[in-house]
Formats: sequence, C-alpha cells, structure tokens
Amino acid sequence: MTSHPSSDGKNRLSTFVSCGVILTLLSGTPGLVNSQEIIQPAHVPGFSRLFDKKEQLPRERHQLAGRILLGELNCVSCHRAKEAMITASPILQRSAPVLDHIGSRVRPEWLHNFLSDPHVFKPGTAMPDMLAGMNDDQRQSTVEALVHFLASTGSVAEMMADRAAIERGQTQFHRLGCVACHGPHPLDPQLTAEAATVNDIRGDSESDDDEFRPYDPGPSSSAFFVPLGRPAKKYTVFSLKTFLLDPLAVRPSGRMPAFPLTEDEATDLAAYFFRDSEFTPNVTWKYYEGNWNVLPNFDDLNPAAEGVAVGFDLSSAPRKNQFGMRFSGYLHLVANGKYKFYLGSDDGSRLTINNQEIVNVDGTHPYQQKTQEQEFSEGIYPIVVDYFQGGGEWVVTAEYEGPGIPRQPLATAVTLTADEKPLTATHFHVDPELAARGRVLFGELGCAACHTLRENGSPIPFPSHDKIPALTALDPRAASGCLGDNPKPIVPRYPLNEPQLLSLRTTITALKKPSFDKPADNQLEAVLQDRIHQTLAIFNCYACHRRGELGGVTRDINEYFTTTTPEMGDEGRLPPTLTGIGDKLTTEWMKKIFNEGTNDRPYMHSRMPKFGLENVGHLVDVLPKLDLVTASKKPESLESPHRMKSNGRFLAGDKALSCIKCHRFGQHAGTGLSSIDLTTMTQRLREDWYYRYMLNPQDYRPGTRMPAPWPFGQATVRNVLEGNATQQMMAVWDYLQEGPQAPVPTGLIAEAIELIPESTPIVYRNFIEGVNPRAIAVGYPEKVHLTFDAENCNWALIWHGQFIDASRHWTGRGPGFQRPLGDHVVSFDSRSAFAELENKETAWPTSAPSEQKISFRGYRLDAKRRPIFRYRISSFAVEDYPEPLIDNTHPEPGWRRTVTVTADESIQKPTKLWFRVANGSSISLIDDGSYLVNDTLRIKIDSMTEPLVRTVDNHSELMIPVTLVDGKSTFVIDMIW
Amino acid sequence: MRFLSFLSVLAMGTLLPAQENPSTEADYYRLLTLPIPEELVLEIGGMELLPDGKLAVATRRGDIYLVNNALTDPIEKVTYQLYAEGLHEILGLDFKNGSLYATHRCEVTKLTDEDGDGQADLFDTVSAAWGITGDYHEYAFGSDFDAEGNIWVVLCLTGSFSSEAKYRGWCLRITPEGHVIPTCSGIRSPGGIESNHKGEMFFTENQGPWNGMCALKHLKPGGFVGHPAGFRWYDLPEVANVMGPKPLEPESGSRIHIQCERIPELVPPAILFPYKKMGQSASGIACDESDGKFGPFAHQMFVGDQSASTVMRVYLEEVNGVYQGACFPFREGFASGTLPLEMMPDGTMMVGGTNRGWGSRGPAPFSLERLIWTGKVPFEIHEMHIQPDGFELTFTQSIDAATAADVASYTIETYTNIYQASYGSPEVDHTAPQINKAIVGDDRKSVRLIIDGLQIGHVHELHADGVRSSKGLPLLHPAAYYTLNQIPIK
Repeated sequence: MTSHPSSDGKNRLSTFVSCGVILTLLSGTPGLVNSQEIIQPAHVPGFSRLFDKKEQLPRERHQLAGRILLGELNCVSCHRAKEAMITASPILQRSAPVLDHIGSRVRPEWLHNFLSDPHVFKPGTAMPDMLAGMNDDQRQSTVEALVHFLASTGSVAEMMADRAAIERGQTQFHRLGCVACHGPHPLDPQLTAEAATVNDIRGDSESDDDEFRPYDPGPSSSAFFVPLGRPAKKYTVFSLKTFLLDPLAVRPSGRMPAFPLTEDEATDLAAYFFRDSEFTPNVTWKYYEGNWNVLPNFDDLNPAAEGVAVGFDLSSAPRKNQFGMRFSGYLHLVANGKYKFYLGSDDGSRLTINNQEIVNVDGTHPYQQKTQEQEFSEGIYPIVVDYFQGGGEWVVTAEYEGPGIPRQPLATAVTLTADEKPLTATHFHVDPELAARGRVLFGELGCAACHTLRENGSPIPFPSHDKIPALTALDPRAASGCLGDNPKPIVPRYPLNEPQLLSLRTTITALKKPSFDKPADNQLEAVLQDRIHQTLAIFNCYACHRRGELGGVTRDINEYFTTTTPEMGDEGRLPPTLTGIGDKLTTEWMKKIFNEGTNDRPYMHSRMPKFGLENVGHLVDVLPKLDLVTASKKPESLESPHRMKSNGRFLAGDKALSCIKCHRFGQHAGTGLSSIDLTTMTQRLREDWYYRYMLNPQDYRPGTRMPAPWPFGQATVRNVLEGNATQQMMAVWDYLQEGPQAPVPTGLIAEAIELIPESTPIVYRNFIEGVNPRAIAVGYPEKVHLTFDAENCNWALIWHGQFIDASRHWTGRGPGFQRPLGDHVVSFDSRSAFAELENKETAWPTSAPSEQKISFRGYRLDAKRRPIFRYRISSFAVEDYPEPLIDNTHPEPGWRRTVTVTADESIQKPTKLWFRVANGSSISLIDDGSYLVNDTLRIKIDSMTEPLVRTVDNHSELMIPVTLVDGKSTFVIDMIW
Repeated sequence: MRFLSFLSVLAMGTLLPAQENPSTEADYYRLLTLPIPEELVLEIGGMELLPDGKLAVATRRGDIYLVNNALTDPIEKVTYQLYAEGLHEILGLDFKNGSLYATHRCEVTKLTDEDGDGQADLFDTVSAAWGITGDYHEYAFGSDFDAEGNIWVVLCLTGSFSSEAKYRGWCLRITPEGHVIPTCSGIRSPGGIESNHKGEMFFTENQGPWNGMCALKHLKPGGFVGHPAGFRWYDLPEVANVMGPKPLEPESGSRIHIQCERIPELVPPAILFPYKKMGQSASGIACDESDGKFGPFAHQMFVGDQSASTVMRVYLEEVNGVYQGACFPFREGFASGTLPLEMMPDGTMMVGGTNRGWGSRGPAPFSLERLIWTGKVPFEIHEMHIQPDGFELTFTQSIDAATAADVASYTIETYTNIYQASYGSPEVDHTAPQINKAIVGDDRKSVRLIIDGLQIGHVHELHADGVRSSKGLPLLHPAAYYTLNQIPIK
C-alpha cells in the first residue's frame, strides 16, 4: 500500500481521526476496521495545493478550496448548484467514472472489496461509503448484489505480462510523466533523500524572486501524489491497457488525462503494474535451428533446446534468425459454440487444435494475420502453435473469442497439463437474481446519482434525486448531513479532514448569500487568476508546469524528467513554463493540446497528455484574458510576399541565422541539436509574441540556450532586407507560415562531400565504420583504398571504387562513423598484425595494444605522397607500406603490402615475433602458390620464411614467422580480390 | 491587460534614428577580414606564425594551410598554400625547430617538410596518450610550448558528460620526448588554452554540468577544476604517482567556494563569464605581450566567445595564491564564431572563426580576421584590483574627478551560480553591496571604491556609467564583472 509522508511534518491524519463523522463511520463497520487504523482523507491534489504553505488559510481562500472540493467530491451531482455553476469562477465538476461495461474492465473480486470498505481498501479515494449506515449483514448482501449486477455488464479479457514488457513499462512509467501525479515507484525514502541532495539548490538563500527558475525544484510533492490503489487486483493487463489508451472514455472528467501512447506502449505500461503478479508457465516449447522457407515438420527434427514459458513467448529462442519453435499445451474451452481464432506471424506459423489444423499463416512474409471460425464443444483439447523465423522481424500472436468470451490472447486459456486450471477459469459466474436486485439497489442507493451506467443507451436513473436539497439550501453544520457528526443512515460518508470540512462549510455558507460571486470590476483580474489557479490545481498541471511562483517539477521527482539530448540542459527535459502562456500560444494550438495531448518536444521524455476540451477548454478563453499583451499593427513589408519568404528561408539557413542548427525542421533533425520544430511555429505561436520573443528570448525563458537572433534589435545579417531587423523577423515568420510545405533552408540536408583522389592519395583521419576510432583512411587515384587502424596498428578495411563521403563529419558537429563509399569492402581482423608468441600453437593475443607494447609512430609520405605507416612492437620498429597493385589479369587493382621489421639491437637468431597476414573461416593454398582467404581474397607471399596456416575451431590464420638478417626482415604480400 | 506597442518593441535597433556616437569599438580596434578563396573551407581551429612570416592555419577538417602575406595591409597579396591534410579536427598548433606540432582529436602530431617542397611529408606521432570512443565531443585542445617545451592538452569529456575513455576530462602535459604528465582533472568542455605572461596555463571552460557559467580556469598542476566525471583515472598508478589520491567528490547543489573549503585540490574559476551577458561559449585565449603595440592592455588576456562572435578582455590578479579578476566587453562583430586567437609579433591579433555545428552571431561559416589597434586609446577601465574594503579601478585615460568621486556614478550587484551536476545554472544568491565612497587617486587615473558587502565566490557586476574622462567622454564599456575568490587581508 502506498503511504504518503506529510510534507510539512504535521500529521493531518490525526486531526482527521478525531473528527466525529469518521468515528461514527468506523464504529458502524466493526470487523473491517479497528479504531487504530489510519484512514486517509479524500485525496484531492487541487485542494492540497492550497495547503501547500504552512500558514493558516485566510477565509476567502477557504471559499476557493471549498469550491474545488464541491467539484472534486462531486457534491454537486446530488446537491444541485445551478447558481454556483454559472458564475465567473464556476465549480468544475469531476464526474464519476462511467460504469458502462464495467464488468469487462474490472474484476468482480476487486469490486467486492472496494464496495465493502472503499476507504480502507483504497485509501485516499474520493468515493464515499454509501453503505456506512448498514449493519454487517445488510452491507454484505448489498455488496454481493451490486457486484453481481456490475459483473453482469461484461467479462474481463485476460492477458499475460512478460518480463521484457514489464521492464519497458517501468521505464515508461517513470519518464512519461506518470510520476508527476502518482509519484515514483516504489516510493523509496532513500531515493527521495538522494534526489533532495542532488537538487537542493535553494539552500538558505532567499527564494522570493519570481524569476523562472528551471533549476530550482520546489520541495516534495509527495503530498499531492494520487494513490493508484491496486491496479493488478482491479484490472487485467488487457483491460488496463485499454483504459490507458483512452482514460477519458470511462473517466470523462480528465483528472486522469490521456497520454499519447501507442498500443504497444500502453501494453508495456499496463504490464508494469503486474510486475508482482505470478503467471504460471502454461506452454511447453521446443526450439529448432535451420534455414527454411516454410514450416518444417518439427516431428522429424531434434530440438536444440526446450523448456516451458508463459504464453507463446519467442524470447526463449537463443538466436533471432533461422530458427523454429513449437509450443504445446492444453486449451480449455468453457462453453459449446462457435469460436473464432486469430493467428498472425512474421514469418510462418500454424495453429493446431485437437490434431486438426485451424489457421495456417505459413511461408516467409512480413507480419500477416488470418482468422478461422470453428464450432467446439466444451472441453480440454491439445493445442500446438508452430512457428519459424527466417530473418528480419520476428513475432507470433494468437487470440480467440467465443460464446460470452471477448477477444483476448489465446494463451490465457492454455495450461501446461490437462488437469490445471487456466487464467480464464477464474471467470465470475453471475447469478441473475442477485444481479437484478443489484440493479435496483444501484439506482436506489444513489450510485446512479454519480455514475452513468447505460442500459440500451439510457442511464439507470436515480429516483430520489428531487428529494435531495440543493447546495444553497444546505445547512453545512447539520449534525445529520454528509458533513455532520451524526449522519442519517442513507447519507454518504466522505473521508474528510478538518481543513476540508472547514473549507466546505465556509463555502456552502457563503453560497447562500446572493452577493457571492459577483466580483466588482476591479476584482476581475483576481477572479480570473483564481479561475486559472483553480483549474491548474485541480488538473494538477502544477505537478509539471510552473506558472508565476506556483508549481513546477519538485525535487523528489526531478530526476525522472529526462531527455534524449542532455546537451539541451533543463530546457530539454522539464515541461515548459505556463507563465504568459495565454500570450504565447494561439487559441487553436491550445485547443489542439487540450483535445489531443502532444509530443511537440520529442527530445523530452515526458509528454503532454490530453485533458479534454470539455474539461479545461475554458482556459482557452481565460488565459489570454489575463496574459495577452496586444501589439499594434506590423509595418509594411519591404518586399513582395514571395521575396519576403525567400529572404526568410535564407535567414533560417546556415549562411545566416542558422536556426536549423538547433531546431528540427519537419522531418529533418537540426544539424547540431534538434529542438522544437520550426515548421509548426506559426501555428503554435501568436505572431506578436514571436516578435517580442525574438528580441530577447531571455526575457521570456531566463537561462534559455536560444540566442537573440537580432541582439538589441540589430540585424547581424546586413545584406538582407536592408539589414532591417523588423523586416527580417517578418520574413522568417512569413516563410514559416508555409508550415510543412516550406522549402528546406540551406545547410539542413547534408550534401555529399565526396573525396576523390585525383593525382595523389588523400589521407582522411576520422571515424570509419567498423574500425577503431583512431582510423586513417587513405584513398588512392588507382581507385583502391584502405583504412589503417592506428590503435591496433594493422590494416582494417580495403575496398574498390569510390573513396569516401566526408559530409557526415564535415557537416554540423560531425557525429558518427562513416562507411566507405566504394564497393568490395574487405574487413581484416581488428587485432594487431604482429604478436610475440611462445610457440606456433599460442593463440593470437587479445590484450590491448598497449599491453603488447604496440604503439603507432606516424607515417611518412613517399614521393608519390603514399603513406608508409610506422609503428613499434616491443623492441621492433615496423614500416608498413601499401602500394596499389596493377594486375592486368584482374579487373581491379590489388594491394602490395611491403612490411619491414627492424630490431632495436641486431638480433640474428629467430625471434618470437609473428606477422599475421590474414585470418578467416577458410584459408587454403591454391595452384599458383597463393592462398585463398574466405573464398574472396587471393594472397601471394614473398618472405624469407615459410608461411604457416593454422586452424583451430573453424578459424584459420595465415602467419609468417619473422626471421631477422642483420637485424632486419622484409616481406611482401600481394592481395587481389 | 497590458498594452505594448509593436513599434516601440521593435524600434530599439532599427527604427530609432542612429545616435551620433563618436566612440565605437571600431574607432580603437579595427577589423580586417582576410580574403579566403572560394574553393577553400577554412574552419579555423589553430594558428601559428612561422619564422619565415607565413601564418600556419589549421582547420577542423584537418588541413593546414600556409598563408602568405597574412600581416600585410592591403590584403590583396594574401595567398594560401596547402601544407598538410588528413588530420582529425585540429585545435592547437605550434612550431619548433622546423616542425609544426598539431594537437588533434587522436594525438599530437609533429609535421615536417623533409624534402622542402612546401608540403609536410613526415607525420610523427608525439603522443597518443588519451583514449577516444568515436564521440564527436571528445575534442583535444593543445597549447603552445611552455618554458620546458611541453604541450598542454585539455581533453573534453565523452559527450561532454562522462569520461568513457582514458584521460577524458583531464589536462595532460606532453613532454618533448612524448612522455605524459597527468596535470589536472575536472575538465568538461574546453574552448581554448593559453598561458599568461608569467607562464601559468589557463583554459576556457563551457557552461554545463558542474559549470554554472562559462569560465577561464587556472590549470594549476595537481589541481581539480570542477567536473568529477574523470575521477576514475586517479585509480591508474601512473596518475596516482603524480597527482596523489582522488579528491573528495564535490556535493552537487552547493557553491564552488564552499566546496573549495572541503576539497583542497579544487581550484575555483579565475573568471566567470555571466551567461549571455558575457557570451555563452568561451573559446580561444591570447595574452597581450606586445609591449604596447596592441594598445594599453599589457599582460592582459583576451578570450573569444564562439556564440556571440566576440573577443572579451580579462584582467587577472593573484590573491593568496589564487587567480581571480575581471572581464570586460572588448570587441564584437566578428564574421563567424570566434575560436582561436593568436597574437602576432606586430601587435595585431589574428582571430579564426567557424560556426559549424554551433551557431554564432556572426553569420559567416568561417573566417580569418585581424584585429588591429588604431593607435587611439579608448576610455576604458584598465584594471580592477581587489582591496580589503572594496576595489581599485584604474583607467586608460585621466578621469573627471567630479563624476568619478560620485558614488552615484556606479552601481554594483553580486551573484553566483549553483555548482551542480545538472546542466548550467541561473544566477543565484543576488546581493547589493553598498558603495560608501569613491576616492579619486592623485594621478587622476584611478578610483578607490570603498564597499560594504563584498561576497566571496560571487561575480561582482559593476557599472560605472556615470564616470567621465577628463575630456568628458563616457567609458566605451562601462561594465566590469569581477570574480571574487579571495579578499586580501591588508
């Protein structure tokens, strides 16, 4: 169970427990709760925000707090409050979850526990206890009837969670922004303490300046964390995934917003909540290796491995290509009737039930799904899923649906042996009589007052609604009411603490006065401020965003806000400020964000979720009223529209302001960083805000890395639009109004910079793909090229044709490794060419070059400017000289590699030094006395000593022992391919 | 609801009538842009004037060109010849005994033209003592030779955050024999390296993790200059023998002067460049040893800013064995992002520019420019000295006693930044010291400011807007930013 440490050291619960209402509630349910048990008050983040500070809340703030509670506890769904809803700062009603088809989402067992005692089972829930006035027997039978009724609306589809999905889900949970409202998992006090140290920058210094302070996370926000309950007990992986994809479908109030998630991301996230759930292995698998185009007959093959798994899980396969798997188990079908089976795979697969082929998706193909309907009678059948993978993507999925069984993964109905019970066997059996009684109770008890549950399209009514007094007719101090010490049996019981009670009573009392809520003209701004504050608090926008002095990511969750691009600093990881947001964003874009959520800043791991226009749409009107700074008309353009645009394009490019160095442009990443997309800029931003921002970005985003493109209003690019800064700003705006159709600015798409050796070789020291970073590529006019590895001191690559494209390294910052531009690339071993071996069986060393005393000494260019590489190994100096080898019998030139070894002192006797010419899977001596390596490279050796070919474990090496004459040895190796 | 006129916002630079201001930077230091042939891409990373008068210019593409007649004016005679190619992003160049020494990404290379055809043919590896992983951030900046003939190399971290290969985040000295002396830890992302007139080595550091602002830092052998990512290399015996044991890890979120008390090896930045006010990407360094040929700023340091396309001026002093001092705006308007600065024997300064990968205010993709003193002395704060009870300012010209003695001619505030593991920092801990008195010196070229509330570890941002020269001129640059590490006792 999640616990919530108090942020200010004051235990609010103690005040709560002393509250008479709750003591009555507790004593009414003996056996479920003892008086020592601490019950949390209803968790309302918007309310908690107002009590963020230690001081007492002034009376008028209690009214705002009370309005938040009236909405969040949904008091107004029973107590009508017309007057309070249409004023300048209306109550924002949090409608209760829609219960249509709740049986297909929530497990009946959970419903039973929750309804029996909501506040103990889900601490912090805002759901009132409707049955508190009943005795134990009444309560139990009521709960049972309600559960049967609710369960009759559908049945849950099962799904399993594999380890990999859980781990992905854990990552997503912590970086998408879930932690902003729900806190990190687990709530580890150690972790929180460390985060506090890392981010404790406020120290003892004053903190009362109102500057945007991205680096200054406030104190803990754990007081606002919304409890998650026990999702693994409530949902299945499948139903939780469905919920996460569109929470507003069942919780239209938007308090749980919808993150823009793909189906896979939602599945992973859902799986994460099942990390502690045990899924029993339910299939046997056998694994085969081979290269097939269609499914082989696995019966004739010997498996290379076997085992058991949870579901048809391919992750047990030791390799990702050229393998097959057979999964077997027992399928439990619980009813007679028509079943539909779905089988999909990349590459081929086949579903067999009861030795009869049901679906066949055989062959080599991308993911493809087929279905088949088939009658089955209730029973247990042997089931086999066969699968093979050639290359590329690899996946297999199997689902089914049947009489009363919604579509769900097939594996949930499969067991390892015939006597076990499958996951689906836990299905709840609805008693129709109990369900009918539950339906009546649902309306009578008042569940229907808050929860919509539609039958044939119309919601179940709450017949007694008219008997409940309106909000303005309430006596907030009545002992027998919801807030009283001695409530009537039928009255719902809310878990409220003293500040909550005080706020509610104050507000209800104030509502009774007709003058309430009619602000004087000079109070208009304050009313608007309140309205925005109320909304940002209720929807917990403050958990991520700062506006003015309020909100922003707090230190205990700060570390979970991460970025793909650390160089962007905090701007790249923390959600943007909402200060002045109504001035900055267009109303259209605000609507779009509220209605769809957004991932406009893909470098930021957190995403902006959808809150729903119907819930927060009023901000679109209210924010500009407060924030907007209006500007007068812009000046006339100096040029015609198309010239303004072409000037704007030039200004955005690398020859002028270089906006594209740091900004994404549609599908093209920026050449340095890749911050927010320029092609959506004019849709996002209000035009006159843009002009002001451009003059000094620091005024709007203190600490931003965005430079002032027109510093002090001066144009640094003098030759465009007469060097007039205003005109240049207009030109960029006009150009970007083309949006995704805007032609790409210069310098964004790297043009190839092909290096072509014409009369002399070209040396190119840079990062070459497949070679140590200390690489020296050399291109020769003869159109044969090589890369020398200056770390290991050996040849690394040789190739023919074109040399190399330098644009990767000579455009932008130049990250990454570049592959040769030409063809016939042959790669050598990455290790050194020389080694000192004890004897000819000694394995070629794998230790670092420095440990073998190998060091690169440089190179000398000969008269043709061809490099002679120089390096040392222990007491020997080596010169390694590549020359293009023109052999008329061969279409392309080869290489002549002349290697000269010189000992520091004259050593005449044989040394332990060996030179390895080549190595590979096959080396053979062929007719003309040359060696053929890997059926590709033909090598001829001219050396004083006889070369040696040795083969160990299918790996061959062609080696020359180094014998010195007068302290020297030279050998020549010719290579063609 | 606020109302702001579009025109009033935009008018600042463009629509107001240009003020008739006789004093601009260009009146005192003029910029001469050297022509670069169309076919050349000269993204300059290092420069060195050779004994024969040719200017060797090394580029980020790995070429070295020799520029003929680089110091002539008019510039029509400037020509280029290719001396070498194929090195890996050269960011340091010096010359000794007929050979050029280039510090580039993977090593220090000695280049020699043995056959005298004007092109290097011998490329000797002097040292490849450090590791590279293939991350583009792993730059290596090399100094000129010090008095012992060593080249000092400062090595950027991997990805500028961590140390994934040997000596990333370290300063090494490479001896003439190619031996390596580990010299300082704590480097993050350098932009230049140069010694002052006493031979003490300094480098520029860029804002980022453990660096709230860009800075000029003293490379005191054995010291730790701020970013602990490279601490793992203290575990190597060859490091421990020279450097001693690993320093204490700094505490993130603290202030550097507080951590200096905990960590004896920690050397505080000599100069902090407040973000945006004094650029945002500190780069090349030059020291004026021109004996007055470059103007009145003998022995002062000059520091480029790549992003702002500027050169800033730095006055350093040593107090209690720790360097500190003031930086001043000096010259803006360079064509591209200023990277290397190199003083020429004739007292002019060569400035190389590039903005590939990092945008700059100067829009040219690359540039080679020469900054020339016109012979006119600008009215500037010459030096700014710390005193036990305030500052002493000296000026380049005699001052008007009335305005200089008026405390209302000055404003001062202080602030510092957070010393923390996350990226950068805002200005924090602002204070407003009180200037009690301004006492004009007998020479009429200095002022003693008696101040209450000096703050150790803070930048003291002083504006002397009201001070006039004896001829009635305002200061060309009235702002000064003094980084206070130590207050002298006497």
